Amino acid sequence: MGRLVLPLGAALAIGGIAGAYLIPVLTAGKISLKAYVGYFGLIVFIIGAFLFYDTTPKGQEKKKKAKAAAQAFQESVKKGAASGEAAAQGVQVKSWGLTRIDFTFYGVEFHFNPVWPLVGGFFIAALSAFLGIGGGFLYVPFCTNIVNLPMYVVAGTSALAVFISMITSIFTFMFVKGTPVDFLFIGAELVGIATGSIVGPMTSKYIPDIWLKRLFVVLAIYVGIGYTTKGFLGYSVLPGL
Amino acid sequence: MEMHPFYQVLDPYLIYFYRLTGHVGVDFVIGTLVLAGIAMLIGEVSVFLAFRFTRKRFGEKTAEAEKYQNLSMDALKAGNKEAYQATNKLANDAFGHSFFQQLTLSAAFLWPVFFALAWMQYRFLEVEFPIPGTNWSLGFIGGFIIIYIAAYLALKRLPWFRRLKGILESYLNNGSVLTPEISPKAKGEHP
Repeated sequence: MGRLVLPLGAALAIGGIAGAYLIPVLTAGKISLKAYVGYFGLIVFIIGAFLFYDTTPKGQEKKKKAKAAAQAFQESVKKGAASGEAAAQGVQVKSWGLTRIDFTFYGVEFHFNPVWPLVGGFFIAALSAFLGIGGGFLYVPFCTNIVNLPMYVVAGTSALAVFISMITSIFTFMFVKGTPVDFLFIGAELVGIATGSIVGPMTSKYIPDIWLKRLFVVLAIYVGIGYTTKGFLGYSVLPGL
Repeated sequence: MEMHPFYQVLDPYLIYFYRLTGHVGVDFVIGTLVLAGIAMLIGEVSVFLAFRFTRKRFGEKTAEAEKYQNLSMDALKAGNKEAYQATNKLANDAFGHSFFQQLTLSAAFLWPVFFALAWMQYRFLEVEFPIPGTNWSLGFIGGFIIIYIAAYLALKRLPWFRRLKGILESYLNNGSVLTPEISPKAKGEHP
């Protein structure tokens, strides 16, 4: 519990529950498969664009700068230049408010506006429930980059939010909307994921990170164009999709 | 719903455990307990194998995340905002890697559950268990989940299963993000 920021988890979870409940209720059975495919294609494009930016000289420069700053700080810690004082350990919420929550973590003070995680939780869970993309991979950067919280507290807190919104979404689809589930398909997918989780780390050490990202960008463009045209034009302009 | 050929082969063996006593409720519990046990054992073995192949890389990435997380806390304590933002970003990147690795590895544990549910869907789709005192009922999925949890609690007491879990947990703990160890320098404890 020392790493769980309860108000942050609660704000993310409330937004998440709303998004994960409303999307199945509002869209299940009302949006055609074609439209889903089209929207999925668009999202793949957006993810591809983010990754493409990461591979550009500007994106790489940002990462290099971050590494250099981290390295410089590490050196300064070694030389004893850094100073500070650790207070009480773990997370301690100091004050609750509608627009500001203050807490300390290992003696360091943090604050955030709970409206942001509420809104963020809603949209991330909604996207996740609608297209199956989202959850942890959006909650964590959202909390670290937008709400500006440390990774230490974000990892545990966002896991709680992901779990709650995922359960809500699955429950609403299956039991409120009665959506049929193809368990055999899920099982087969999981076998593929498990195989990939073994093959990926074994092969990725031979391929630099940037080339893996470039490979993904190419695939994202291909899948993005194929799915978007298939969804919105009725046919894929690229073969195999 | 016509049974998939894969299940046509397995069906006589799996359904055998649902016909042991002749009492419908008891048979459902026994059969599902056996099915859940099989799914869990296959899952445990496959996640164990997956970890054996990937633990080095897994450990590297989690250690990297841990290193930058510790540095980011040090930077905060030292009041160095620029270093905090840089190290927090790198911690975020590294955490993303280890998070997804953990997530995908969990598929190695869960896949047999969905194959089990797929078979149950052919056999028990229409079965409903009324919940006493309410107007609600539990379908085969709810029944399976409850019995799966019970099977897990029972199986984890077996020595062989405990040994397997112990090895797995040691892999996880070696690579997991632990409590932050703020360096003595950043704490202000200069020698």
